[in-house]
This record gives sequence, structure tokens and C-alpha cells, in this order.
Amino acid sequence: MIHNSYTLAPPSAQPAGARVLTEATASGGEMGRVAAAGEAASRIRRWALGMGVFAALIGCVGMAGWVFGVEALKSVLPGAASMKANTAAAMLAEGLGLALVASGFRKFRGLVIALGGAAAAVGAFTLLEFVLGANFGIDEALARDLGKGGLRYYPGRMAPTTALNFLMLGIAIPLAGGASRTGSRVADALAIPASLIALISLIGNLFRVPADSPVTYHTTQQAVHTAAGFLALSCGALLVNAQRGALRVIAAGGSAGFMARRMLPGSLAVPIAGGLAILLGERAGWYGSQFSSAAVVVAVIAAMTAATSLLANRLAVLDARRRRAERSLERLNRQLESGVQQRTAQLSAANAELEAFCYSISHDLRGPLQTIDGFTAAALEEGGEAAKDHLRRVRSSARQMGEILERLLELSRLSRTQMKPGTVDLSALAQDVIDQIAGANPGRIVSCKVQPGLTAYGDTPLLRVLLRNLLDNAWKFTAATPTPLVEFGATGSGEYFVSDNGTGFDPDAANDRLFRPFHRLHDDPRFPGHGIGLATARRIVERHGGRIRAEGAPGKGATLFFSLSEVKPLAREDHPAR
Amino acid sequence: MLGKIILLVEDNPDHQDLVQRALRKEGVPHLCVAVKDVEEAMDFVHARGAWEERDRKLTPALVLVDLKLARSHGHEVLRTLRRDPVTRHIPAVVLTSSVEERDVAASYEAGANGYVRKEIDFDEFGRTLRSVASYWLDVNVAPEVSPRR
Repeated sequence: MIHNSYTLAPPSAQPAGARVLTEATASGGEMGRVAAAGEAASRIRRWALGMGVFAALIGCVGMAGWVFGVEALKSVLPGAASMKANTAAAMLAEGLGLALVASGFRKFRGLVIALGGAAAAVGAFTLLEFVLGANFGIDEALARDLGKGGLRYYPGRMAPTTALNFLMLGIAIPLAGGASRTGSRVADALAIPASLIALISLIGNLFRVPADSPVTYHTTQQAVHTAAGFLALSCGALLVNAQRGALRVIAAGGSAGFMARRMLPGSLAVPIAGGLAILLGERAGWYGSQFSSAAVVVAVIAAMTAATSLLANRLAVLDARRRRAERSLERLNRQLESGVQQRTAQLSAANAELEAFCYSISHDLRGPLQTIDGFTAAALEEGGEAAKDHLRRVRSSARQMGEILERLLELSRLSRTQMKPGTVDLSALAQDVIDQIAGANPGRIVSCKVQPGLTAYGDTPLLRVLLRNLLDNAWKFTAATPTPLVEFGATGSGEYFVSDNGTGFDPDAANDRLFRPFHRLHDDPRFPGHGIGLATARRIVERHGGRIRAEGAPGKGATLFFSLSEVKPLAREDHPAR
Repeated sequence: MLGKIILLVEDNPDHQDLVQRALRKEGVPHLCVAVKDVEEAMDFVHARGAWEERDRKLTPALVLVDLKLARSHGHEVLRTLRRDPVTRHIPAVVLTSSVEERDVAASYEAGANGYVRKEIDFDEFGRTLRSVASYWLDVNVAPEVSPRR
């Protein structure tokens, strides 16, 4: 019965918490384009799969070259190193292995290890041949190399860098797909040098670096498509490994992953394309090598500047977005906090009132009970005529308790009943209540004035209880006045009032005790009461969104002013937090 | 010997009656005078107003204060008693149905010497009153007070 003045939110009203959630989701969606880590991971896997397939296709092309004897398929570029038969087979094996790893099928794990292991073994034995100067007879095991593209080593033998790459990637690819952390570190440690070797070979081929020194001789001896295949394999291994390995930032959510995914392909393609273009210009005789170096410098400056400003712009956008999100979060937090404070204040007020209420009830119900027990005991002891008087007191106390309980019920009902507001003719209601009271007290003559034509917006039954309580009081406290006068009317400022010329009260002693349950200012037996009437009145006025106050002085009568809110009471009930 | 005077400050006439009956029934050999509020209590102490006619030589030896008086709270009674030089040393015991900790503390703060809960059971209430009266009036040694200094 306490919580009516801060009614719990009805289901129709949207609680503050729901609002917070909605806004948070909205700003989350804004960040979503950058943040979807799961989606990025699956896209990365698709890229790795593509790279595996690409490498396998290159292997197939090389094999086709050997099967059908097509030099263009073996070397691609006229006069360049050819892809050997072993290389084509191992490339196919590692490409398939990578594709299987990237596709994520766990049951092919054994096959992946077998393919990788076979390719790594080919690489390892070829390297051994180089180191030991031996010939195990594996170089021409698949096809005879007649050296039409020009022989650099033993016929059919792949370049040492090729063999090294097969060894490293044959180990890296199965490890990249495995579950162990160490395995993934080793995979990165193998795939990164493999990718560098492939890159050097690819660029050396594209730029047609002449094999005129030991360094250039050994670094450019992979066929151009072999180098491309290795680049695809090593990048694929790194990508597959990206969930845990060195490249995990590109699989990460947030702006870091977004940036890495955007910048990495460009940082690979732009220098290659730019360098090639500059070199082709030089070869065509448009300018000399000095200008080439200058052009490279300019190109690097331009590319880095462009990349930096792109990055900076992107970061600025992300920063602004994050600041916006932070601000809105902060605002929501503040709202939430003030909401919590408000609710806490309301709850502690309700708690305090409830506590005071229980205290008063236990106190006020104990009084009559003590009387009942005391005089019952006395009646039992004394008997006769005296007992009748004692029992009368017992009955009166019992009735008093009944009255208290009745009023309490009324007070609690006030909070629970659904209001049905409408236009109420207060003047007619007041007159009706006065007639009732006068009818119930035929012995007293009280002159009453009711200002005609007063209407209000509110709940008729509740307003009747309000007027009954106020007029009852006025009636009661004029009992000792020679010419009692009770008035109902409205002030110019929109307040209604009930006034009397009765006993009045001491405003200092009254303060806010007046409107609390069970607080009585009078102990005069001529003015019986329980101190619930004005508490009830206050509750009704507050349910209508209004205020109630009392003015008075001892012996000068009392006036109770109340307002009923201009705002429709129903609207107020729907928004208890406002 | 007439016995000593117990001054009861209680606004409910039924409860005044009950306290007096209980004391009588328990055979407490002292006189209980009931007044309804703090003004009447001070009138009695100083033998003025409605109590002008009483024997001035008699001073209450114990004051029982009901904590919840409608017009003036029991604590005000205690403070008034403690301010007045005549009554400041008279033992005052709060008689109430409340055992709220804050009421107990505030009562001692206002100058109470004891705090007793009114039992609903009349017989028990009587026994409580008897022990209160016998301690404060028979066992306890109070300073001599004179009605006029």
C-alpha cells in the first residue's frame, strides 16, 4: 500500500533498461562493419583455399608440360628456368594439402600429412643431392629432362631454393592446420622464409635479373610459375595459421584486423607492379638506371604517402565513430545512474514509510489490545456491576481496533484500485458528502457553504473518499465551536480547499506529521480518530498528481488545500519515472 | 506511612486506569497519580492549576511516561522533567509498547532512567510494574528533593 506514489512501471511503459539496450545495439551495428571477426576468419579461409587450388593448378600445368612436351608450360617465359617434373608433382601435392587444410575437414588430416610429407621428402632428398654432390636418381624418376629450356643443374633436378621451399612448406602446411600452439609457431617460422624466397624468385623472374653472380644465380632459379605457386602456398599457410599465428591480427576483429586485411594485398601488389613498370620503361630505353632509381624513390614516397593518408583517414573515421559511441555510452550511463539514484531514493522513501507504518500499526493495535486484556481480567476478577463497565470498555476497544483495521484496508485499497478518470462535478460531490455526514449526525447543526460549479478531472470514487475524509475532519473539529462553519471552494490559483472554524492545530507541532498514518495532533476525547484520514487524503491527491497542504492555528480553525494535477492522471500513471 | 507518589503521564484514560489497577492488584504500597500530558504533570509537580489544592510536601518519587502521547511526545515530557530543577533527579521510566531501538536510544538521550515495554498480558504487565516500582522506590536510593529551593 506504500508504493502508489511511485507506481511500478506498467508492462506497456518501456523501462529505461530497454532503451539503453536498443541504443547500444544501434551503435554496435555502426561498428559492425569493422568488428565482425568471425566473418573475417571465414573469408580468410576461403582465400587460403583459393591459394591452395591455385598452387595445385600450377602443379597440373607443369605436369601437363612434361606429359605433352610443351616447353611453354614448363618455362612460361622463353629462356627462363623450367618447372621440373618433380616440382610439378610436389607443387600439386602441397597445393592439395593446403586446400584440404583450408577447407577445414578434420578427417583429411592424415592425407594432408601424407601429401606434405611426400613433398617435403622430395625437397629434402634433392637438397641432400646438392650437399653431398650425389645422385639418388630421383630427378628424372618421373620424366626425362632433355634440357630444351637450358640446363642449370643435373637434368631434371629442381633448384636448391625450390627444394628448400618444398621441405619447409611440406612441414608448414600440415602444422598450420594442426591444433598445437608450437606447431603453429613452427609453421609461421617456415612459411615466412619460404614466402620471401618465392617473392625474390618471382620478382627476379619478372624483372629478368641476369644470373651473373652467385647470389642472383641461386635466387632466380625457380621457374616463374613455380615461384608464384610457392608464394600462394606460403601465403595460404600463413592465412590458415592466422587464427593463432603471426598473422592473427588480420583475422582479428576491430579496426586492427580491418586495416591489416585492407593493406596487406596492396603492399604486395603495388611494389611489384610499380617496380616492373619502372623496369620495363628502362628496358624500352625511355630512361637510364639513374632515372629508374629516382622513379623508384618517387614511387615509394608516393605509395607510402598515399598509404599513410589512407590509413590516417580511416583511423580518423574509426576514432570519430568510437568517440561517438563512447559519448553515447557515457550519456546512457549517466541516465542509468540518475535513474538508479531516483529509484533508490523512491525505494528508500517507500522503505522508510513502510517501516514507520509497521511501527505505527504495532503500536496502535497494541493499545486497544492491552485495554481489552486488562479489563477482561478485571471483569473476571470483580464480577457484578463493575464487570459490566469493564466489558463496555473491552467492547469499545474491540470496536476501535475494528475501525483502525477498516481504515487500513481502505488505505491499502487506494493504492491497488485502477483509476477511471473523467470529469467530476466536485461541487455536487461535496454537497452529497455533506448531506451524508449531516444525516449521520442529526444532533449537530453545522452551516455549510459549497462553491457551485467546481469540476475536476479525476476518479469519482477516490475523490468522494477524499472529500469525505476532509469534510469529516472539518465536521469533527467544529464539535466544540458555538457556530460551526464548514466551507468547500477553490482559490484563484487552482487549489481546492476545505475549511472550518474549529479547534485548528499548531502548525509547528504539525509539520508533516499531519499527513502520516497514525499521527494524531489531538488527544481530546471530543475529537476521536485514528490519524488515518489525512494519510488517506494525501494518497488520493498524490495519485491524481496533486499536492495537499494544511494551514491553521490553535482555536482559529483549519484549512486543507489540495490540487489535482492539470496533467491527466492516467498519463502520469503510465510514466512513474518522470 | 502513606507511601511514595508515582506520577503516571498517560493520555489514554483506559490505560491510566489499567496501570493504577495493576499496581493496586500487585500490592504496591504507593500512590499512583495519573496526569494526561506534560503541562498537567508540571502543574502537579509545582502544585498549581488543577492541582493547586494538593499537599505541597509531597513530591513524586518516580515518573512513568507513556512514550506515545498524541499532543506532546513522551520525549518532550522527559526533557521538560530534566530541565526543571525540582524534577531533574526524579527517576523517570518510559512505559511503552514500542521496543524500537531508536525509541529506546532517544528516550535515554532525553533523560530516561529506564525503559519498560507494556505487555499485552495484563498479569504480566502487573508483575513488570511491581518490579519497576519496587526497584525504583524501595531498592534504589534517590537524592532528597525539596519542592521549593
